[in-house]
Amino acid sequence: MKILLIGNQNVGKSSIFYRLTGVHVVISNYPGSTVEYKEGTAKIGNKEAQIVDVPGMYSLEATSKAENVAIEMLNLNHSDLIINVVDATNLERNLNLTLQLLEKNVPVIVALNFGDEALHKGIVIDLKKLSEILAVPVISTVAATGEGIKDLVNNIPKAKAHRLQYSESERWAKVGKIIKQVQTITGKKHSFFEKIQDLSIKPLTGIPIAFLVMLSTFSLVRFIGESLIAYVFEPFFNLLLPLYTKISAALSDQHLIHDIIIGKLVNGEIDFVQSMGLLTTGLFVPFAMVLPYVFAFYLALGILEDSGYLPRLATLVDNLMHKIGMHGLAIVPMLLGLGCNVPAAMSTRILESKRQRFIAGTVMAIAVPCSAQLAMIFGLIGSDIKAMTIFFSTLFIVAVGLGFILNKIMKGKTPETFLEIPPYRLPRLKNLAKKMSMKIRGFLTEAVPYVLLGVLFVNILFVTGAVEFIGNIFAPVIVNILGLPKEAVASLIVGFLRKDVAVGMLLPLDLSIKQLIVAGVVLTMYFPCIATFMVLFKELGIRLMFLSILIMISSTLIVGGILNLIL
Amino acid sequence: MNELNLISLKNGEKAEIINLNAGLNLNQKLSSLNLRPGKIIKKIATHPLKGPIIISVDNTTISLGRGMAEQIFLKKIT
Repeated sequence: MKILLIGNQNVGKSSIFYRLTGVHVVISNYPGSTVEYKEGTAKIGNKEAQIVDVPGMYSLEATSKAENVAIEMLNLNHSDLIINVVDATNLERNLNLTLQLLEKNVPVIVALNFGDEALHKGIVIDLKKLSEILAVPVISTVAATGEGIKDLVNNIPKAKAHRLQYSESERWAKVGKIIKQVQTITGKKHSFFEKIQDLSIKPLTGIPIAFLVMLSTFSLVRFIGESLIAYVFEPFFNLLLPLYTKISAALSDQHLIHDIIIGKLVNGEIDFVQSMGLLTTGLFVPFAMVLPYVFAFYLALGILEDSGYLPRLATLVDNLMHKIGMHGLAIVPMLLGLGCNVPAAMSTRILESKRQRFIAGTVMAIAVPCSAQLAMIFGLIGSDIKAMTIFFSTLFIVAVGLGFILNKIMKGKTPETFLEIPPYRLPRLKNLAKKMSMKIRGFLTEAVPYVLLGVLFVNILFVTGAVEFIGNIFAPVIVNILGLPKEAVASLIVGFLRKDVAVGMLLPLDLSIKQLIVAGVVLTMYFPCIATFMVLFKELGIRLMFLSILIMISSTLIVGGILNLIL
Repeated sequence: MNELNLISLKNGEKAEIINLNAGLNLNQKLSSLNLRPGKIIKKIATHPLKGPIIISVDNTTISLGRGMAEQIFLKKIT
């Protein structure tokens, strides 16, 4: 049995999906957080059913790529049942889709979600009557807490298929009639959230609030990241040092193995960042330098996502984003990119046009460093405020400049914003914890092996003399244009695999602050890591990907060259 | 005639939608978010530099571009 979860955007489909299947999916409070359909299984009665979480849609006529995926799913696959998730606080609009679904001759059951919020807003819905009129079961749910889910499952066998036929105006007329019969609105109380809702979206108050939010987010990330490093992870690795020293001594006459396991000694001692051994740098970089920031970043992002602030931010920057070929919602891939470029590249799908997805994907891949890379940059030049300022403003100027140019030379126009602003919701600790544990598990299982591979790869590059060889080929570019030593080529090669390891490799080169800035900027811009590349390639196609790469390489040379000249 | 479009409506004012004139596709898009003739909307804010316009309809807050706003015709409620 195949069950589709269908509903407007941001009505809680993913929450219900999680409740039904136990499969962890990303749940956030902004429209379009699900861009891909997700599948899981659930026990319905005593049979196993396949549950599909479909990206949200307002109507069965697609207006964006994500919606298209949803509608294709609906037509292509024979589904046995539809769970139509309906937002009780917006019943009228949601019912329009419900009636459309009732035209499809597929059994439908309605999950009336956010019942608690509706009650707060003074909205009372007569479930029994609604169910009678629609002639399908209507179950009240609060997906975030799991309320009503059992009831929903128990009523699935009662779902009914209909073959209604309405024109659009007939449908709305019918919706209007239903609303009159089932919904009563009593005096509306303004909650605290509703009051700040307006303030944070009006330009005069919203822009200062946005600065405050971004500043405190950034400070929170740095504070948590740095504290974790200083008080948890560094002390832990210092405890390991005696053990490592013993291993190092035991391997002292096995040069090759010593170099791979422990790495090179710096001034006769193990250096966790520079030694480049599997047990030293291979573990220290991902755990003691990157993980703390990954944790801190996703905590902050999770709060932003779940509170409902992101669409407001998107609205506030919409006018500026239009100047660089995107609309406000493109701020989402940019922010996600600061965590990891991979999901960011995927999230460009919330943008409607190919042109916009290309500009957003390219700008993100070039100018947005991921948390792993940022963590290492903080480690390298974090104490030098001037260097950090130059680093970030360079990338900011690159993002704006590149977007501006692409917007000017590419055919087509940026579609206008049309975005639902969800109500503010208090982030739920449980959901936050779940999202964080997903991200961290992803980091441990996907990033850490690549870091180890990267470190091993570094050793191979040096032992085989490949660095020397490739370095000589690219020396004119690296030395003359970028002003870096030719050994930096090793870092650029490893950067394809892991940008954090690549940044770490700059340390033994004894670079000046100026060179560190140039190298940091170049490592961010020149090419995405392999994982991001694969996703971008899939999203953009071969022609646009090729174009994107050309832009990456040429802009890196220009910007790196300029920095080298003026700093 | 007191018919005006969403651009000319002042922030904080309420109006009833009389007509959508944004082309079939866009009309449909607007309708699916419940912006359709007969509905009462409130304009919340206008963003500078040709930025979006924020309105609310029932319990939904919507941010939409000026091109669309131009094509939403309203009758002021006094």
